Amino acid sequence: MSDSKFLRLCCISDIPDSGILRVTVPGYDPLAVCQVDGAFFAIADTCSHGMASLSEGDIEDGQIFCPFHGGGFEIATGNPTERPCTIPIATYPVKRVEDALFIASK
Amino acid sequence: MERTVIIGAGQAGGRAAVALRANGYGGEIILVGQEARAPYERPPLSKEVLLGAAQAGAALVNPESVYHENSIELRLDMPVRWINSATRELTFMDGDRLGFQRLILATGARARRLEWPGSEAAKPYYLRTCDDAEVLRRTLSGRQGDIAIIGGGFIGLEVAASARQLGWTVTVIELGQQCLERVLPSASARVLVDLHERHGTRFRWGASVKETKETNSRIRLLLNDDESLNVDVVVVGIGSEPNMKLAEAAGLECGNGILVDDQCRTSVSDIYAIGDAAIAPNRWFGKPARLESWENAERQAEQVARVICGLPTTNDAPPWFWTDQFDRNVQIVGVPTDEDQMTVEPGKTPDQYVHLYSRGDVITGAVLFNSGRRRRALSRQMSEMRDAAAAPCSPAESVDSMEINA
Repeated sequence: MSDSKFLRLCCISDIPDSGILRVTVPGYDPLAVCQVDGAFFAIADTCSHGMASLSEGDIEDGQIFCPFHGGGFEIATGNPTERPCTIPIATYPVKRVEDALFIASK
Repeated sequence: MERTVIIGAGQAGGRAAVALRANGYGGEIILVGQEARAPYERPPLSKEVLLGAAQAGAALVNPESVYHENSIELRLDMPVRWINSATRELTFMDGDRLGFQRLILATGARARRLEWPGSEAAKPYYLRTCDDAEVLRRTLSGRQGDIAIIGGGFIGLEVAASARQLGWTVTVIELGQQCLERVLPSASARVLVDLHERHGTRFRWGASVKETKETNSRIRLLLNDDESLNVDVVVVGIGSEPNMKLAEAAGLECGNGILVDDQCRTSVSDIYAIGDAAIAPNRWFGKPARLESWENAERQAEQVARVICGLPTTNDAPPWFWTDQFDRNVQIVGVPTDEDQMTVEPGKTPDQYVHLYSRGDVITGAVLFNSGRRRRALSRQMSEMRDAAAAPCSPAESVDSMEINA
């Protein structure tokens, strides 16, 4: 895909068993690409509570849990689900083309 | 229209206002605050703010737009003079009056003051509010020197860590024989002391300040062992006291806090109390507890909102506290004590491990070092065990109430 309106995030095979891959693309703060039951999401990688990288956390029941304080977010919506997180994180639509994932360029 | 007034625009008050709407409350909501700021998060004040990594008050309890969107009226910088619980009306310091059908007291706590001969000459700093943090940050930034911290609790240790990171020489003066005596068993407390000592902090155990000697530019603290300590800055962090004068004057039953039942109800109908100011039954302590923690403020805020909305509610998850010091995140779940058996569960890396405390087959508490991801499962497990245990296991604590600061 060479459309300049989209930026390549990663290959699906790049995503480790944890289901989370930290990706940086121009124009965005660091992202966490998440795989949940065969669907793919891109969310802000930095926890809205502390300066922690969510991609080092865990996925459980469609939620991502921060490794630092243990707070959580629903991956599909970015809404906080577990304290101490109370502020939503950004989520972005992901486009899949064959084995690669893309995000709209800013 | 029915009106609920919340006195206290901190973590508990701010969250209760929003939780009322989220649970369907259709009446007027007025959030009254003594400070001029909208509710802000306190945890960063002793860490990121002192280090200059975050601005005091930048972390808000609710995004600014939330109040308008939820028709919550903020009345900030409006201290309350008194509450008339019979006529259901409160009077502000400036003489204005405000009636209510329901009242939530979220008046919080204040830093406990310490006085000793010559204490005014030491000009001790306290840390509770945004303004306190901003003043201390300015004092500590841009120069280095010697700082004495009186009290080895959460605030004392967090300030100690921040001051060390800023290059100050730090001495912690603690009356007891270990840090965080009221919350941590000694084996877990030792880990924190080791961490601080590795970073160069000195601890003076069983120590107190007898006197401040005047010197030209520095502060000379004379300790109880007659040694003296020359420092540039003194910080006092010896816990806090509940703000309950309004409640007492209004005839509400108070002890070491405003007494509430397990539904946040005070002794006067339609008046509730939550957060640092409230003392509530707690099955984990086997007696009423006043918990000064972020988590408790959150839980009780949600709970009181549900109670007012007529929804069923319980609040019996294990207590949870956390602290960040240097590169460590330490979380305490449940009520671990020295009487329990402790096992160490290692994690993925050497600095990740859990001190698991148990009595027989029942996990009574856990201290998590850089292992926040273990908290949910442990908390769940502890609740299930507690539910299953017919007789609650009573903690070996001899005071009338637990006061915990986080």
